[in-house]
Amino acid sequence: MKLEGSFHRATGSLFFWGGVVLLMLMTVVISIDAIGRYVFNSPLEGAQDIVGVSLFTLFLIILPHSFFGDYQIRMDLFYARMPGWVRTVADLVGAAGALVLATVLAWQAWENIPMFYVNHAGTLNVKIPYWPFNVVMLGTGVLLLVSVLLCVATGARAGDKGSH
Amino acid sequence: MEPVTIGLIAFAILLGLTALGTPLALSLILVGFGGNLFFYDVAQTSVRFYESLFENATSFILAAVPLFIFMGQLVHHSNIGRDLYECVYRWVGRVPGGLAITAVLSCAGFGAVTGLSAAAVATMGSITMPEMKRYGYAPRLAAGSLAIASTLAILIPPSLLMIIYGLWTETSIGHLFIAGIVPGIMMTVAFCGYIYIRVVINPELGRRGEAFTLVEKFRSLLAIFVIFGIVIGGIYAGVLTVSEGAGVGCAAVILLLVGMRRLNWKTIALAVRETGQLTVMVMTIFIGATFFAKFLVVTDISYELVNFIATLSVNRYVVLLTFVVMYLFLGMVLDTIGMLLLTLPIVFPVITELGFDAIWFGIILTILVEIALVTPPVGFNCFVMHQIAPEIPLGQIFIGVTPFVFIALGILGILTLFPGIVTMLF
Repeated sequence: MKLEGSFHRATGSLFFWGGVVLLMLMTVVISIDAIGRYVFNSPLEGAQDIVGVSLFTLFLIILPHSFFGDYQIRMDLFYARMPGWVRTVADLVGAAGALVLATVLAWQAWENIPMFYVNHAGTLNVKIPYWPFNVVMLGTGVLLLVSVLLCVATGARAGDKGSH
Repeated sequence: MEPVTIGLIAFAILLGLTALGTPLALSLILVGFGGNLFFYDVAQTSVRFYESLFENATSFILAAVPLFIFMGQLVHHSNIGRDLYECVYRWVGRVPGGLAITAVLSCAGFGAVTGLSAAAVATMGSITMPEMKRYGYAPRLAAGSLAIASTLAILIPPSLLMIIYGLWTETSIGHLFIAGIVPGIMMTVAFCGYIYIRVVINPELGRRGEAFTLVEKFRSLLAIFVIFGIVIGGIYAGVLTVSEGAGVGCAAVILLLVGMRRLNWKTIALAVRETGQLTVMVMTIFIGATFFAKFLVVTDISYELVNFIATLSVNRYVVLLTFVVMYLFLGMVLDTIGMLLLTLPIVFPVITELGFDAIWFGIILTILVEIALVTPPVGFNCFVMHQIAPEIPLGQIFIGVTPFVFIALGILGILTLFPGIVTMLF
């Protein structure tokens, strides 16, 4: 439980601080670009690229915590009324889905990092390199994998964040 | 096995898992992955998933989702809702049913800044319910009007739901926003009119509010005018794109809160947390649904369904009515975003093939989602309302909201008969 708690806090901190920085960054970049474009006729070069990779990173850093925090939408109406074993089955199927997601993220990142690095693959306008974001994706895959395994091992279903 | 059969089985498994309570996004990913394996090997399937993830998660347009949510959460946690309520109350609080009308108009205004129905009911409910109790409002009328009014947030732009619909169907989000204005105003006026008539007929339902001088009325407009002028003006005037509007809106709200000395660490922390939760929820479903839809395209299921409906030779309005009934039913049991993304791959090709306008259908769908938010047994907004006013039984809230549901259905009928109303502003 101690390990689980520490992991939960670590992914939670990553989510929070990453969220603060990236949301503010996106806000500032879009605002500078829009004001530059419409007021001074001089848009910020690469604004869309920066916002795109920021959004990608934002999603990736929240993802591991989302499974632990149970931020995903489910039909609670029926789930809450199901017998315990049915709920366990539903959770295990969900965990299987999350495992697929984590594995694919980690695998694709692992394949892409050297390829993107060698080919200098980057964003459309200002060529922000893609490989660092795939490193983040690799980390997300691993963290999500650990998160799912910890949840399955401890039988936890933290919180009950509903829909909407 | 025929590809269509595989598609149908996969869809049935997906519905089964969803009904079981497996998180929707994870069900979509799991079934999508399994389904794709019928047509591709593991490596190709993984690449297809990565493409779905990368295309969506780096999309500049999709950046509007977290930014609009962030803006809404900042407004939600910084008491701007109360300013809005005070402002509207000073103008209409004195008329019969004034407090309930104030609640409806405040929710409509709040929706024009946030686009989040749950935030609207939580913010406006906690402000207006105590006031309505103080003025002796009938609990059914008070709770019913608040629960339905908060759904206006998703019809009056900016709307999170419209962004998702626009992205999914590749329909102009700007046009969707503009198309939502007239139906949103119609709905607001109809709700206010109903409250007014009911209280005029039976004044016992709620006492009139206080009277204010003209100076007091105009003074209350200042803060609201700044928010709406900058945030909404830019988007509605068509100057800014949706993502730009969201970003500039966030910046404007942050600057305004700094100016009002209301931006503190607690507000930012709450706003970031809730924005993150909602963003990952929406984006995971969106990515999962895109991946699942790619699989459905391979199975030709949408194509076959369109052909099947064409062979039936039924009137297109019968098909539309069938979909409306289906959405009303699904809305009773499914989450709104899930309902939308789960059904659109099947429904949207049929609707466009039948010659219905994609923008118009987006508005119709949004109204159906509004209704879903207040109909039992899920009726999410009624549950939030019940949490705010636990002394009003849930059943009473559902009864209180029923006349408004019929009004919404009536407006749905009018928009179907006169679709030009939706597209009249562009």
